[in-house]
Amino acid sequence: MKRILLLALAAVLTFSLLPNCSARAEERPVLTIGDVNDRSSARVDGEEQVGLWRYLEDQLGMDIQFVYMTPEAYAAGLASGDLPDIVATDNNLATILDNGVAFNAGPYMEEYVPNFMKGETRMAYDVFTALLDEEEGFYFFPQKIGYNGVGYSNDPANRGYVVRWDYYKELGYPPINNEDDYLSVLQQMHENHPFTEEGYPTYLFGTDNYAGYCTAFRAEVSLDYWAAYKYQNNIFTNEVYDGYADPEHSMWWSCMSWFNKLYRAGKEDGSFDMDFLTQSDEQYDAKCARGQYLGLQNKSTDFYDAMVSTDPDTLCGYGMVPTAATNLYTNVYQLLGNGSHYMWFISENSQHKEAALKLFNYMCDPDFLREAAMGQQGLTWDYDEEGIPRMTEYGQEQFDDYMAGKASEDNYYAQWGTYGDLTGAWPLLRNNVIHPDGYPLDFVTINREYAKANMTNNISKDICAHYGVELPTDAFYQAGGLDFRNDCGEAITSCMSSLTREQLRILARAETILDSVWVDLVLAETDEEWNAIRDESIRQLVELGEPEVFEAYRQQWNAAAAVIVPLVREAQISNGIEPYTPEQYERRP
Amino acid sequence: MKQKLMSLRVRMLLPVIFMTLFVVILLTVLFSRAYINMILRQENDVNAVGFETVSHSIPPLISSSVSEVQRIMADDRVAAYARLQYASKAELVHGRIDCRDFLRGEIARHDGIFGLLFMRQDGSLFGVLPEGYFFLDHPEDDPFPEDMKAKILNAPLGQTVWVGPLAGAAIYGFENSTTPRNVMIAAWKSVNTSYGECYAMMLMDESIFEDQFAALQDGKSKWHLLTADQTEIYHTGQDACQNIERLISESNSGTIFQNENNQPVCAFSMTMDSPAWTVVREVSMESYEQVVRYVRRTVTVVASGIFLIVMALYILWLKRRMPQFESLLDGIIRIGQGDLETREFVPTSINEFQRMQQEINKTSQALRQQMDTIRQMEREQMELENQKREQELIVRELSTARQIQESMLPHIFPPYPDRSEVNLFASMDPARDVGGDFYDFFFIDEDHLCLVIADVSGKGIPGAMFMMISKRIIEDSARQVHSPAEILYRTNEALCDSNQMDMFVTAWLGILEISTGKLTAANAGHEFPAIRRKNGHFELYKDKHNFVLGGMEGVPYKEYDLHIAPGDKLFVYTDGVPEATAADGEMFGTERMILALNTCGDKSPEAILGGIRNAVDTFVGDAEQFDDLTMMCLEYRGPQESKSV
Repeated sequence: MKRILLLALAAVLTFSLLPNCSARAEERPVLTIGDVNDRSSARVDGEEQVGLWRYLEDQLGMDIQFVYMTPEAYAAGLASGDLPDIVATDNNLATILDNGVAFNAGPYMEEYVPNFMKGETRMAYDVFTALLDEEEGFYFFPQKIGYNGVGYSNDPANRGYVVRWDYYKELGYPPINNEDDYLSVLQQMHENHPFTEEGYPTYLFGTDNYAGYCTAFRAEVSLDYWAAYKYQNNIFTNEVYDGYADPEHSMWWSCMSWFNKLYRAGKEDGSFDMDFLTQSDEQYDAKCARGQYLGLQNKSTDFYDAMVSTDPDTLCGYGMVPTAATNLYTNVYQLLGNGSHYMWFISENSQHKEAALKLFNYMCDPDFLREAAMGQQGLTWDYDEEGIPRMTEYGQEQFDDYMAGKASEDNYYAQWGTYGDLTGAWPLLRNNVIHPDGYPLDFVTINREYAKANMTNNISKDICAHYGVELPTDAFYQAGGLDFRNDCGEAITSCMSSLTREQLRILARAETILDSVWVDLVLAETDEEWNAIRDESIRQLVELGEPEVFEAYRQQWNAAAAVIVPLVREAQISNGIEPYTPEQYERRP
Repeated sequence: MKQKLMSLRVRMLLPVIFMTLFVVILLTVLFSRAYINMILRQENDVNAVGFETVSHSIPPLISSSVSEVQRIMADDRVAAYARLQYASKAELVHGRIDCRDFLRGEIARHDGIFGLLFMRQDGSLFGVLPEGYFFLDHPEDDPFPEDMKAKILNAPLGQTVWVGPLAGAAIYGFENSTTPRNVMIAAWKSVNTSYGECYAMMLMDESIFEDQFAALQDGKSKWHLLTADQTEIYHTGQDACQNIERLISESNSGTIFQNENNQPVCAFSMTMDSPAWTVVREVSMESYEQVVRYVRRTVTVVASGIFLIVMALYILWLKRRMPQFESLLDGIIRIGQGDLETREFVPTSINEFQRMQQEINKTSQALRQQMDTIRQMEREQMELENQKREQELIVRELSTARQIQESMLPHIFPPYPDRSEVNLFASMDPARDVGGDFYDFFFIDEDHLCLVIADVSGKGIPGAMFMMISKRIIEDSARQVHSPAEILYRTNEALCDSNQMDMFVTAWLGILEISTGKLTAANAGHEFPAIRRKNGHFELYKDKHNFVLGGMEGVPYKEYDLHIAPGDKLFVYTDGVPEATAADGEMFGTERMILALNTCGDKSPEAILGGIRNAVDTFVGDAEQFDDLTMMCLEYRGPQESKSV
């Protein structure tokens, strides 16, 4: 017995001296992926543990580690080149190129990333090599190329007239075709409900910052904010406008006008929220969650979520009124993904460039992405005799449990992961992209039947019931709303060079001029006062030279648009989405 | 007897056990008292350092913070917004923005201060809180309870009062992950502003004191900071104190008590001069408990050792006093030697027990060896049985094979009861269970009877397999052509095509034309046939030999004709007949065979074959035969009236 104990002790001591050696033998190189840490969509806390990421790690023979960089660390890395192997951009492609920290993957694409060189992603390669860099290099991998939103949904996107739906129904669903209709409806609501059921005062309209460009999503201006600074593009014509000195085509000036209208309408009875001029996002969110605003710049779900937890049938919440004055954010073909704000590049100093290229190849591999969306072929789905991909009985059961939030820890999709577990910033294709087999990567949820079957929101149901449609988006199209199919602003702005330092200095001063007058504009008591402030501001902007800066920007924009717009048109038409004609969008409110 | 012996032993052990327990308890109590006194002396030394640090750091901190806030309060932007004397709403908002931005900058510059609020004389509040720096200046946003508000309003001029802690959520109006848990508010009344009397409130959370107490952390102390009215405004660790009064009353008493978490603690306190706050240090006595437990364990181990020694002495004493042990020893020794008779022997030393151990080991070893032998025999027995079963299986299979082979040869005699032209009999006795010889006969049409006898070069299963193949090919060929030479030629070609084992066949094949007695035959290396003319003697017919079947491709075969008259007999056989060997090595030979044939030449074919068999058996005696014994005899009776086959 004593001898056995001695032997056991000796063995323990021997092995205790060796763990470092054995651990080193199992260690694999680490491929680091960096992102600025305040962009929650890129966070993957714990998700890299799902089977999808482990599969990728095994394929690469490396561990993948996500590095969250503070904005300061990101800026320092761009300056010094000390960056993770793969880095996310932050709307600063020109700076990245100027600093020389991005690896030119162009010469290696055919060999290492062949999946990118065909199909939907090939156009991105062509555009970048033609426009972004004089040497025709390829540096940036867009994420989520494809359609951002399909033409049907059980939860319509924003960019229309948002109202507190229970009060709106109480009024009998009055039509809203323009800003004056909207204000009238909001005033009627306030007259009926000056206080919420909990006793908080109600206000006509809420927005979370004074710039409030989001309010311009209303159809009157048909602008979007992809262009930088206060330059905005028309979502139908893709023309760019000077948002500083051109009040007729400016979200900012439009917003000031709208806020002034609200002020004059509500200054006497307190229905204008004076705090919105100075309140923080948290104060705004708290008021939204209490249902204090009768109309909103952007649909908020906090109020509905709070109310439905106590009343499953509640209509307390915010909804968007189906009207022709609505821009549905669907059918947006994102040639360069989510634009310059979110792309990936390989660090010039990376020691793992080959592995990084291989990772990108997987991230646009239709077969891998199909399995990322639906699970492994033969297990959760497979082709039937006619070659149509279908879920297996096991896969459907696991998928339903997972989507219903009833998945246990050993649920297949909890273990393997889903498309979303590749994170919001990966992969390079959207899950509605068509696989070579002729069906979307996600062939289960991207169809009308699934959208109908999974419509749980009471307000969405009420919209369908009242307007006699199957899905809320049907109601908006039925009312004459148009979607964003013509918009190419996101891709165009991705290919813009940065302005010069002097031009940027001029724009900074232009911002200061507008900052100094916005309170006076909103609180102007008369049109004359408002016009006087506007005219004086524009005079200062012209004197500053802002229109010349815009002209330089516009020329860049037009050059990029000349390449990109035809490509997007071609892609959309091949996908069966016909662009809107001038006659269609010009007859809108 | 055993029970009495056990009872005796227990009674003798009890005093030893009680004595051991007494020693353990006594030593533990004495040590605990000494140890706690030592701990308290050490902790008092720690207290002196800690209290001095706190009393020299917090008052200046508070004083400087108050001065800073007084400066902030006097700033024009704050003063202007406090007065609210604006000509228009636009000016009001501009003033509000100016005030907000100024206060934002100020709280960003001061660690630990996360909010600055000001109360006008009418009780309305304004100021900045974090969470995106939002601004409070509406009555509905007033976060303070009335009693707290009254306390602030009644504060003596220029003197700081501390209120709180107040839940962060109460001030914000909502709660999220960044909302501070507890907010401490320092408030005071000031008239040193351009707009007169105003109340300033400095909002702090725990972080303002963290630097002060961080240096005092020792892993076992929890610090509490109490205002003069014993409100806890700061504490280290996770939880606030639930029973401040108990903590104060027990502090500095030198006693250990259980706190609200039922942990043993000791408390020390000190009151500062300005502000008159009390600092309480709550020291976990868990480590003390651990030491006491350790000492108790040590004492127990030592006492157990003593106890074991006493036990050993006790056993020795038993050895001397109780001769039963000797009987046991002797008995075990005899068992080891295989002697079942017991002998008495009185042990006098521990060596006796060692011998007993050795003998037990010997006994065990002997038994183990015997067990090994038995297991070995069992294994051998099992192997023999397995071999026997396998042999029986082979015998059964060979028997089955023999039956199959026999069933393939014509074995019903007379084979053609309706054909009186011929009388035919044949037999095959394989040397082993299955043989390589075969015979065959069949009508290839109504007038032609084909006769075959053959001998495969191998014996046993391979020979039998080759024999069956050969037989089938010969029969198939004979039904296609009526020429013995052509039949043998085709058979040879077919066998050569698939002859992987290099086996061959000798064969004699004849076709008898019943109507005429014409016998056309060919011989492929086989024994000469014997013919007996009517009323004559059997004689060998030395026909010309062709090459054996299966030996070489393309070999031509020649046939010859004989006339068989009615009453003639034909005898064909394999080499097993002439080569049957007696025990002395002498072969039966063709001469003895002809002699034996002629002995019974006038009998029926069946009797002739029986006679030959008897002659061979007589000749070989008990000698083992190594070749098959196959014979066939035909008696031709001449043409008869036509009958169907």
